[in-house]
Formats: sequence, C-alpha cells, structure tokens
Amino acid sequence: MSALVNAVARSQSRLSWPQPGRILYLCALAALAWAIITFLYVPLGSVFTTAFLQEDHTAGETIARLAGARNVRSALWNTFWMTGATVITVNIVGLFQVAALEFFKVRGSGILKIAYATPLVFGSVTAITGYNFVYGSSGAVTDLLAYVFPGIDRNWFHGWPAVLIAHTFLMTQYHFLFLRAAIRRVDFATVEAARSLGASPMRALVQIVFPVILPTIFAVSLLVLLAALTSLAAPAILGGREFRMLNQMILGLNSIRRQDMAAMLALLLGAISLAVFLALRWIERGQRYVGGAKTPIPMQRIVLKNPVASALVQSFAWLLFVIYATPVLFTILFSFAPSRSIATDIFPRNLTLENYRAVFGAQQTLEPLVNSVIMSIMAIFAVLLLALFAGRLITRTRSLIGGVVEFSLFIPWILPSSLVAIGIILAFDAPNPLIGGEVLLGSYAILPIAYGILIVPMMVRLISASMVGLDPALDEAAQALGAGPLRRFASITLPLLAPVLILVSALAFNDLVNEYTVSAFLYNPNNRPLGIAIAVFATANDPEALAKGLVYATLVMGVSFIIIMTADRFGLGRAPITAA
Amino acid sequence: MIELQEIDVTFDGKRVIEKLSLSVSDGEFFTLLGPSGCGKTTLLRTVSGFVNPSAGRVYINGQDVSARPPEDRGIGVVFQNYALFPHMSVYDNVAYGLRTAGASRARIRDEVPRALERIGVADHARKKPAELSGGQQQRVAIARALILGTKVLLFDEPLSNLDAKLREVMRDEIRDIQTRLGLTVIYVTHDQQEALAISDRIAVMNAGKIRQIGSPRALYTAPADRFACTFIGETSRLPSHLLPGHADVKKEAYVRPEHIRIGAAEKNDDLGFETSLERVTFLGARQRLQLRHGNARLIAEAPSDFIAGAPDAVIAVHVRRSDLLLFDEASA
Repeated sequence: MSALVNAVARSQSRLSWPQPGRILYLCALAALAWAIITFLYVPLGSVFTTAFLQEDHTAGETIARLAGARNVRSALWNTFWMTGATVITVNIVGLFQVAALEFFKVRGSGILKIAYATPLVFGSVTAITGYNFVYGSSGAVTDLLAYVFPGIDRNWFHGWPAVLIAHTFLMTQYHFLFLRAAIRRVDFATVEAARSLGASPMRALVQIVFPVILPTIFAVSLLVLLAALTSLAAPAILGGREFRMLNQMILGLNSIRRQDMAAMLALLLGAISLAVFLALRWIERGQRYVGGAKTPIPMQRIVLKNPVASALVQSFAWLLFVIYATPVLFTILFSFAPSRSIATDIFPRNLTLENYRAVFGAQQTLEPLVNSVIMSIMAIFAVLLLALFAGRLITRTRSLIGGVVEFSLFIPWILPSSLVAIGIILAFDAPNPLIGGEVLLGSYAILPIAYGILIVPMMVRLISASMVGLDPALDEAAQALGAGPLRRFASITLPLLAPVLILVSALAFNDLVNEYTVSAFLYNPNNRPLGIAIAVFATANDPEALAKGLVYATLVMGVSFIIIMTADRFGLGRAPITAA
Repeated sequence: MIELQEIDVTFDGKRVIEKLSLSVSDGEFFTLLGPSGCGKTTLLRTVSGFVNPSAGRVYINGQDVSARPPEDRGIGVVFQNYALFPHMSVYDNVAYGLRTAGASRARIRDEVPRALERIGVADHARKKPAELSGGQQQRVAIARALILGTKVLLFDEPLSNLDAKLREVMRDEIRDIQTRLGLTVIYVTHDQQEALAISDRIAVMNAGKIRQIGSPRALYTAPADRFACTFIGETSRLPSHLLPGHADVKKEAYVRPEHIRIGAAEKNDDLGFETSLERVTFLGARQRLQLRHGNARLIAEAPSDFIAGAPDAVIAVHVRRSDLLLFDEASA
C-alpha cells in the first residue's frame, strides 16, 4: 500500500501539477481507477469464476462437455483455419492495394483509392448485409452470373467461401490506413539505390520496401487476425448452418443460460488471442529497421515499363475496384428502389424515396438509428476524457501507476469482444455495489459502457502515441511565457492533438455505429442498436424489410463517409498510427 | 543578475551537475560551452526552472526563484528548435505571452506589430511558422521570448539548426539585440567559435563541472587546464624531450598553430627543431601545415603564399618559450 502511495506521490511530482489542480488530479485518478476496476477487472474476474468455480460441477466437467460436443469442435476448427486463411488473403489484397496506390503508377488511382477506402465506411454488419444483398442467391451479381452461366448454383455465396470472401475484402481497412502511411515514410532513395544496382521495381518493392515496413505489416496482420478470430456478423449472416465459428457458439450458449460453458469458450478465445498476440510481438521485436537518412526522399510512384507486369497490375487493381464498388453502389442504388424491384430486378427501374420515408416515418424503425448514434457519442465522449487523462499519465510519468494504467487499458484490445460482453453480463446481472447497487443487464447504459470498453485501447493508444509525438519544448515555451498547466493544455496540447482526437473519434464512431458482436450479447428492447436491426433485416425474406436494411446501410455509409472525409482533412495518415 | 549557488542535479540517481556555483552580471552575455552531455543544457534548464535541482539555490535579480515554476520566473527562453507553436500564426505566437498575462487587446495590437517590425518579420505576421525560413523562425522565437519585457534571456543552442552563413548573421543579430536592449543572456553552445565570437564571458564545462570561467581571450591565451586548452582552439602537444630541463619537470606542453613559427630559432630561449611535412591544406587566406617530429604530429599555420614544398620536405620551426601552454601531467 505504501508503495502505491509513493507511486502516486512520485507521479504527481513528475507531472508538476499545481496546488489548485492537485485535488482535481486526485479525483481524476480515483475515477480512472474506479472505471478500470469496475469495467475491466471485475467482469474479467467474473468470467474466470463462472468458468472455473461452479458449485455443482468442476471446470474439468465443463471442458469435457464442450470437447464432447461435435458442433463446438467443428466451430473451433472453423475458427482456426478461417482466421489463418483470412490473414493470408487480406495481406495479399491489402499489400497489393498499398502497392497500387503508393508504389506503382496505376491509371485512375484517385478513383481506385475511393473504392479501396470503402471498408472504412462500409464495414461489419452493414457491409455483410450489402455483400449478401449483391452476391446472395437473389442478388444482382448472382442474377448477372446466372445470365452468363445458366447452370450456376444461385446459392454460391454461402457458407465458408462467402465468409472468407467477406473477410478478405472487408478487413483491408487497416492496410489502407496504416500500411499506406508506413510506405509513404520509406526513403525513396533506398528504392532508387536498389534500382541502380539492377533491381526491377517489383524486386525493389519486395526486397527493399516490404522489409522496411514489415513491423507495420505485422501490426496490421495482428489486427486482422484478432478481427477474424472473433468474427460474428459474417458467419452469422453468411455462414449458414454448416459453417459456424466460435463466437456464434458463445452467443448460443449464453442465450440458453449455459454461461459456464460460454465463459469457458470465451476464455479459450481470449487465451488464443493473447498467445497469438505475444507470439507476433516476439517475432516483430527482431524486425525493426531505423532509416539512417537525415533527409529522406518522399516515396514516388514508379511507372512499370514491363508491359506484362504493367497489364497484370492494372487489371488486378481494377478487378479489385469492381469487387469493392459493386456492393456499395448496389446497396445505395436499391435503397432508392421500390421494394418489389429489390427482389426482381438487376437494376432498379425507377427510383423513389419511399424506403427512406418508411424508415424515418415510423418511430420503431428510426429508433435503432437514434440509439446507435446516441450510445456511440456517449461512449466516445467518456473515453476521450479518460484517454486524455490516461495518455498524459502514461506519457509523462514513468511511474508504476502509468505502467499499470497503460497495461489495464490495453487489455480489451487482446480480449475478444464476446469475452468482454460475457464478463459484463456476469458481473452486472445482479445489484453490484461498485455501480451503486444497480443492475446493468437490461439497462440502457449497458451498451454505451460496453462500447466504451471496446474503443478504449484504440483511443488511448493513438492519443498517447500522438502525445509522445508532441515536442515537449512547445509546452515549455508556453510555460516560460507564463502559461499555467490548464492554459497550456487548452491552448497548446489540445489544438495540436485536435486532428488526432477528431480522427480517433471518427474511427471509433465508425466502429460503434456498425457494432454487432457486443450488441448481439447485450442489447435489450430499450437500446436496440443499428447493427442488430440491420442484421435482422438482412436475413429477412421480406423485400420491404430488406429495403429498410438497405436504407440503414446507406445512412451509416453516408455518415461514416462524412466523418472519414472530415478526419482526412485533419490528417488521416499523418497521425501517429503505430498500431501495435 | 543571475546567481547559482552549489547546484546539484541528479537524474535517476546519477549526478549530472555537482556543486556548481556561478554568477552572471546584469547586461552580460554569458556562454556555457562544453561537449555533448557535459550538463550545460541541464544547467540552463535549472535556471529556467524546467529542471529542479536536488540541492542548491537559483537567484534571479536578487530573488530566490528556486521554488518557482518556470512560468513565474520572468525569463525568456529561446529553444534549440525554436518551439514555435505550429498551429498559431507568427502574430499569435508573439502575442501568446501577452494574452497569457491578460494584456488588453489594445496593448496586444500595439506591442506585437512593433515587436515584429523590430525583428524584421512584420510582413510575415499572418504566416504559420512552417512557412518561414530558419532565420525568420529564429527571429520570431526571440521576439516571442522578449514580448513580456524580460531582461533575462536564455538560449539553448539556438543556431545549431542553421547553415554556416546564416549562423554568423544570426550570431551577430543576437549580440546586437542583447546590447541594444541591455539583456542578461545565458547562452548554451558546443561550438567554440560561436562562443568565442559572441560572449562577454564563457564557462567551459565538462562532466557536470565548470573547468574555467573567463573572457574569450583569457580562455584562449591562458587556459586553466588541459581540457580547456584542447577544447578551445586547436593545439598540438610538444614532445617532452624538446622542453628544457625535461628530465626534472613533469609538465605537458601545448602550443597553438599560430605559435609554431616557420624558420630556425630567432632567440636563445626559443625552442627550435626540424619537422617533416605531411600535408598542406589550403584554406584561402591561410594554409594549414601538418608536420611531424618523431612520433608527434604538430599543426602549424602559414600565409597562403608560403611555399611549403613536397611531402616529406624538411621544415625548420621554432616556438617561443612564452607561447607554451604548460600543464602538470596530472591535470586531466
């Protein structure tokens, strides 16, 4: 205990908080500690106790029952191989995209960039809905394929191939964001040096550029891997009965109140995530190269002189364009189509605002939209405050407290969101003194809180990374000019961080407004979010319901698009984005 | 006046400044000179208040400011990279201190343009720092530091980011501003030429201690120890057997290049000896001769019209006894 008190004192003295601010600082520290304990450690502890400390049976029995269940075994296997396959296919597509946008001169790269950026605005359950709508058995692309190849199975976009395709094209956003920024930082002089020594552009890309950005490739692969491992919307909507993944099992067990088994599986998923994370960090450690150039030359795009290579790169780039653009365009187009046209036409015959009127006209259909926006903003606002304080604590103090806070806020990043959800259910399904004796399960607040937990690691990490990037001399210069801590924070730190704050808030909003996994576990009639509503409509056979789903998807895309464009103006890609 | 009394600074248990005392007079241009890591920037930051000493006191204008945070010390600081606020215009950068002090709009509108005018960047008032050249940024940083009317200005290697020509121009400008406004300046640099050119007095530092304080001329002509001697200006060590009575006197002798004179000894007590020419470097007005005597390598200077001859040519040189810089062998 005295060590803790000393640590607090030390961190305080290093932060040199002023006398009036000290009480504020201690209050903030107490609030942070409460939030970490209540919403991170207590739920995690509940999962452990539920999995391992049941009164009527042992953990061994739970494990034996799970191992004996054929559907659990197959879900486990499916999850493993699908995750591995996804990391490979996403890297193939993602690395190619980055090369096509930043390394090779490809015709129409401006338009390609917009298409490749679509996973940023067209993600998760929204995108799965769009894919299902376009490539599914009654989709426009399937219609087109059936017209060209009359014998084709109209149900081709189903089961594992559909899940893998959806994963492959919808999980490239990390490559688009982080790898593109990394390749831009590569010193072009090294590429020119390689070419002067006889390397072709392709060889220079593979042997010089890729090794330099390998740490970022590892980092984004890790993000892809964690996303694939815990995928829920794709297998739930596209997988059908024959292809199920682990998160679906956990959701199913939870819904039949076998929470010991759900907790055990969630822990297994968490353990796998942690193991993979540690392994990749270990591999990554030996792979950092620091450029020696004091004046690096910015990356330039190379014209491919070899006609075969050029044709291959151009055609693959444009094939990707078609794959990315089609679901988006058709989703938007058909959201304006009469509902009877949705089931029958390849292209809508006429356009109408009827579907939008139906969505905005009825409170029942408008509610999920409003819920999601409000709950996301609540979560983001709370986490922004937390991240600004925690980021300062982490970056300005090298004390025990900073380390503990950093580690704690990083935990949800490796934990599957289903584990977070199960934890919250188990910790707050009965009155809990930590939250004033309230029950969270069934309340409105449960989703904003869970959303907050989901976005904490990303926001804290990016915000503290950009705090590290701030030149300490700027703060000192303001201090030498007489500015106190609060004024310095408001006039120097905050404006300089603003682009990053806007960027991470936009990214978080984008994630949350589409959120499916945690919502599926925790929603209730009071707070039914958009993700759940979209999934219900996506799997409906009723064209009117489907039309509403398309309207939701288009609205989400529109909002995300505006947000991303705003964030882009404020410096997307310039932000410090070492994701891992 | 700035006075430091018995300052100790420790970082993570390591003592980087030890029992250091010095005083800087009003209107003096005082330079802290030393190699990287000698503690000169730490000492400057102790004066500005960004580093808290573990022991000792700091006085500015007779007041003990040791316990005061930087914002309450009434000093101006010019940082190595200028630390101009990148999101503010030149005008707003310079106005920042006034706004922080709660100055009226009228006063800001009156003083900031004048400050910008004075340093010759009035035309760039609306620009962001990134749009300025290095020299202009430097001027803005100085204007910003002076806006509150401080009489004490601290510079932390302010010229290290400029190219050689601009460095000389800015060096003279800084000195002009200091003289014109009667500022007390503490200036940190590792560049001995810069220190010699700009300072009233210089403190030569090494390993957290001051080795010598003196005027540039005094430091050059009468260095207190071997470190000060070799750190400031160029020197060659003479082989001990050339020194008269060398068997008895345990001394090391150093000599400046301009004091190794070409030609045989002129007076009885001159030290004359022969050297062989290793290399001639043409420097424009002068040339630099690299000579060898036994195992010792000596650097001499000669006018550029002196014809030194081919490599290995024998050149007779002499050194006046009064030009020798002698130190005990023990002095580190």
